[in-house]
Amino acid sequence: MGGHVQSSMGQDLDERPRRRLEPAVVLRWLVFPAAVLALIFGVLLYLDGRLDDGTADDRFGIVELPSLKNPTGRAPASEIGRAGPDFLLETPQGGTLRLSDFQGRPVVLNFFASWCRPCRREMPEFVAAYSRYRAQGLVIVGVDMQEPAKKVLKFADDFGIRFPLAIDRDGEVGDAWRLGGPIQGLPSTYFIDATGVIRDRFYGPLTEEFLEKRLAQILPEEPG
Amino acid sequence: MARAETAHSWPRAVRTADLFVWLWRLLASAQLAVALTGFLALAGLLAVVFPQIPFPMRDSPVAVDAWLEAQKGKFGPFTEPMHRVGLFSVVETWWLLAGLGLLAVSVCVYTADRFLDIWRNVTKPRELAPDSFFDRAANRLALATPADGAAGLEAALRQRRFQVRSFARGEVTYLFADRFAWAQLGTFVSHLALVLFLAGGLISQVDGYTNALLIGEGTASPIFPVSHPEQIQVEVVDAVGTFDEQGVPTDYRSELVLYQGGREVKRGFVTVNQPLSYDGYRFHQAGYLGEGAALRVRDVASGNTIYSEALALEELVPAPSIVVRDSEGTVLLDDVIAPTDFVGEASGTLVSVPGSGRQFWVGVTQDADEKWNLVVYEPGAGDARLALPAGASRTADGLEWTFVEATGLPSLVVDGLPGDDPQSLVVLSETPGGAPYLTVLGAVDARALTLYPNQPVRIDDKEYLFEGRREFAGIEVRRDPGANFIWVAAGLLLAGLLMSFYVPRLRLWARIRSDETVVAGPAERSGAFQSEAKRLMRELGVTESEREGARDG
Repeated sequence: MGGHVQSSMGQDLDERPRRRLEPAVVLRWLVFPAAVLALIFGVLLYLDGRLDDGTADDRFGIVELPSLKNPTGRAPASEIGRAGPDFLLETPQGGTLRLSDFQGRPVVLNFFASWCRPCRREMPEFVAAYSRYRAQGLVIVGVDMQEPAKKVLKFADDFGIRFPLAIDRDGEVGDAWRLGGPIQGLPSTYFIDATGVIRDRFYGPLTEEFLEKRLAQILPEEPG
Repeated sequence: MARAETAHSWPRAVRTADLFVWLWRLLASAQLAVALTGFLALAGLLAVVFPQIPFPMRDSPVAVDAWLEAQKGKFGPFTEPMHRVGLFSVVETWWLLAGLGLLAVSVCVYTADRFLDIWRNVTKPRELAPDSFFDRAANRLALATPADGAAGLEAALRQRRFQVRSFARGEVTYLFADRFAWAQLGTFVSHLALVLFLAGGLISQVDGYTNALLIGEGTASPIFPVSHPEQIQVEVVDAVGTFDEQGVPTDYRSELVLYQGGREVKRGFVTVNQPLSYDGYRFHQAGYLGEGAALRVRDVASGNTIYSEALALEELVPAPSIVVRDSEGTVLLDDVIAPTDFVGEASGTLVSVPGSGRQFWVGVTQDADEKWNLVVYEPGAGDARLALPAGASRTADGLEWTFVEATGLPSLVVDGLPGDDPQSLVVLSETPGGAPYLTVLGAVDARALTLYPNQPVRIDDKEYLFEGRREFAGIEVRRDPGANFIWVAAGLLLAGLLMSFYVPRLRLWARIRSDETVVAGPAERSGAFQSEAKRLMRELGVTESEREGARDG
């Protein structure tokens, strides 16, 4: 005898599930399993900690460059001949530093980190250059990438850094300045003239010779 | 025109619907799932039987070519075709990924196709069966009605953990008994587990992250490229390696501090088996290098640091281990000689032999057979040289020289160390008393600089300082977002299998007349119905009806 028995009312008592052929009906029942799966995925991803928000302070990062401080008439960009993207960052001492505040003076903008070996290698050159050209109005701004203030202060103390430092805590400024170009890297240095326009840039550790050559592009000519 | 288009488009719509239904049926079929599972098992077998290209090599075509060349000795002319179809990298082949994807889709469709019916079957079963079912059911048993009629059978079923419902129709009583109906959902639990396994693997592949770092004590390293918004820096506060008497490592342990957004976010110890976890990332101790040195150079005038590095001395320079005795056999020198310069092919240094008042240049060189030989000569004593192989002793001019072995001293070629040469060789050695010292070659022209811990040496306008040994920790950073999925999937699979195979679910219908009781069950061949029916008969103290025995469907 077969296992497929029809009742007098025509109903099937076989426990085996019947196939529903209508796609529309079947699709309806996709919603429930999909919702269950979505719920489970959501919980698991939440547990994975991916939904945590960052620790960055919204006050700091890239800020709008006032149009009066942009002589190029073009949007700021980390390109030669353009005004550099302006930023407001925290200093390791707890103050703030805004790049455009230095307009009117030649600026060397150096992105570094204490863990970066080439950065350590070139830092004495910046310290020496600052000592040599400070009287001519040169400003060197060092932007540390995402390190704690105490580490930056120790680094500054070790290397005798006297020029202004700031910390890019969430990497937003570094990202906007496209550090290292397409390969992304430290150190990266930008040479900005007194009008706020980028005149040159260098990816990698600078030697004294290379630094002098680039400083000549932004420093005021000596009288006589 | 318009009518003709309509006439053409209608059959096309029907064909599309038919195709969809056909595809749906195909994906919902258990046969396809079994075939895919078999295919994946075969793929796994191939990955075990055939050697697989090591993962670190796979990004380098040159390394892959070299690996394939080595396989030609085993697979001959088949090597290239086998590589082309992916037999040497099975887990990365499109056909394996397609099989996995198809299996995931098949499981989802299978589940969607059957879920509602089974859910209804569990929650709203048909409780009253028609008489024709009791006459023709695949599993049925006719037995003598117990003395206490339906009440006796109902009580016996309840005792057997069935939920029972009773329906009276005139002289006849019908029972519906259901036990552990929810266990039917076990198959969906198992299928959900399978989907989660595949999803976990996919998520790990797409969103997983691994990075290996070698970090010296007191230094930090970022785990991502520069300016990554989730950047985390790992600082190794302390790295410890413990070894047994034979020098075999017994444990590696490091104290780590994690920084994010310029703030300390976690601190803790890691070992090989106990990682530190933060924000979904796990920091494992994956290695250890005990031979490191912290070297600092200052500008004397300003006091500023102009060089500061923790150097991982991962290379070795050959150095002879020697013993020198006087004519009475007294040991005058027992040391490993760190090289400071070269004479011909030999690397060595000038050594004062205590108690003799004499100086010798002692070094090692390799012969044509790549065996090490000790070379000794006394400056100012003509061309007289002593040369002896490892393990040998020889006496010359009142001193007995023993070349114990050629050993290797931790070293590193360093770029950018302030000094005369752009490159310097830094060698870490120990005094016979075990105190470390650093030999720096190249920083000062024609002179080897020997630095003892925390004893600065001033050369011209620079001060060189060996700050001490530094150990390095090999830290592996991992983020495996699929891991949670795998754990949950493993639990669900276990639960699903238990529900499906170990929970004794059964559904019975009974028709009780005064002279005969028929118990019937659904079509299944597991034997559960037969054994349950027999147990019931025993408990009720009845036998099979003489008019009609049990039949299997």
